[in-house]
Amino acid sequence: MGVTINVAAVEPTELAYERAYDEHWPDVFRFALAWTNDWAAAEDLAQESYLRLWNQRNRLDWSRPALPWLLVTTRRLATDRFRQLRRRLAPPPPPESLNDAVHARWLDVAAAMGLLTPIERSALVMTAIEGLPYEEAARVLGTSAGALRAAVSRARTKLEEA
Amino acid sequence: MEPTRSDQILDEWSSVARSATPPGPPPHAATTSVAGAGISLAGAAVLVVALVAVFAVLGNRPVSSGPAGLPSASPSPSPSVAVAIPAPPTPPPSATPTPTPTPTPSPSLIADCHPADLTTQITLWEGAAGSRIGHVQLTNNGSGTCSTADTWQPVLVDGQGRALIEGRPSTNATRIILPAGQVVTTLVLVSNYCGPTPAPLVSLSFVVDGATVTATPESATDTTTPPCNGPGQPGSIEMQPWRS
Repeated sequence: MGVTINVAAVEPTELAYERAYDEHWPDVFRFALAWTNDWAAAEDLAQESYLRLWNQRNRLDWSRPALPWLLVTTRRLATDRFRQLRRRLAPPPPPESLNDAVHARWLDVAAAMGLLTPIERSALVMTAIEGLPYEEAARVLGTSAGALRAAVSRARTKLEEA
Repeated sequence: MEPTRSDQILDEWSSVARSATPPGPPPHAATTSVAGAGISLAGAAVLVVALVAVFAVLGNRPVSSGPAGLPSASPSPSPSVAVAIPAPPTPPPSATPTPTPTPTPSPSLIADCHPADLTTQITLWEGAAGSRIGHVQLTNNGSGTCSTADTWQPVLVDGQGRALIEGRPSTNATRIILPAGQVVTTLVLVSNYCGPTPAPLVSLSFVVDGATVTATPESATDTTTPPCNGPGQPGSIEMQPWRS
């Protein structure tokens, strides 16, 4: 006997939420990773951002893209002082989601990216890897396009000298 | 043209970061979390199997023979225990619409922690602009695993047990599971104390499940209170959820 799912009972916002998770989780995770330079923290942040999205689902305008909302929420969560202190207090173990080989590569690249500030890292990743226009990346990061360009330039210089 | 060093680093970053997969299904609601990284997935699986078995033995709920992972269309009146455990990488969830369970506090099969088994200690008072941040450690000294609320009601108390600043009662339905000996930590932010000099030792108390647990102060002469930022304004105290 098959399992019947009562589609009528599912709210459109729930479908939109599921879709936002399917489509954007990797983007949200990478943004969180760029900001924190910490794999486990980035996974936590991405999950928490989606939890916020879930809690806000009935108040959001789903006709607009969800990704900018998620990225701004992630950035705000990442800058939460309590969170930063907590991470400092208890360094996380290696994430279970990383196998040893990838973890070793991650440690190397994280060490290099650790030379940058969160805003430099995020600005560089968003523009050079994700391909976002400077204006859009600046909006997510809560800064100006000019400041973002400067951050990207500083980031490049630091990595060249690393 | 040779790629620059920064391009090489970015390429590697991108390659590694793109290997990430969602740690589980989309988060929907408050769940019970298992404190401590020491619980393996295998252990968690054993726990889940044990819970299902208990339900089956009690006769209140037949073990489902349907496809795993497909929730029923209508809310089940049976109790359920949600255990949030780091899941192995899984393919993204399908877009198939699935009814979302309503977040409700779940009756737990794991006993509530007895307050006498829980000890708390302030390990550090950190100065912050106009505030003090207490680093607090919670230990389950009981002989077995128990569960407690994820956040408690914090109270700044003086040496005579008087409340200097009282936090709001926790309404958090989420619970954490504490194996015996497990240590978890939290941060408590206290702001704006404008009362008289308190009697030492100033500490933090927590109201949990109707009982009070008082933390051991950081030092034997602790009179830490946050500075007075505005005599007309009430003090505030809030805590973060317990984390391993």
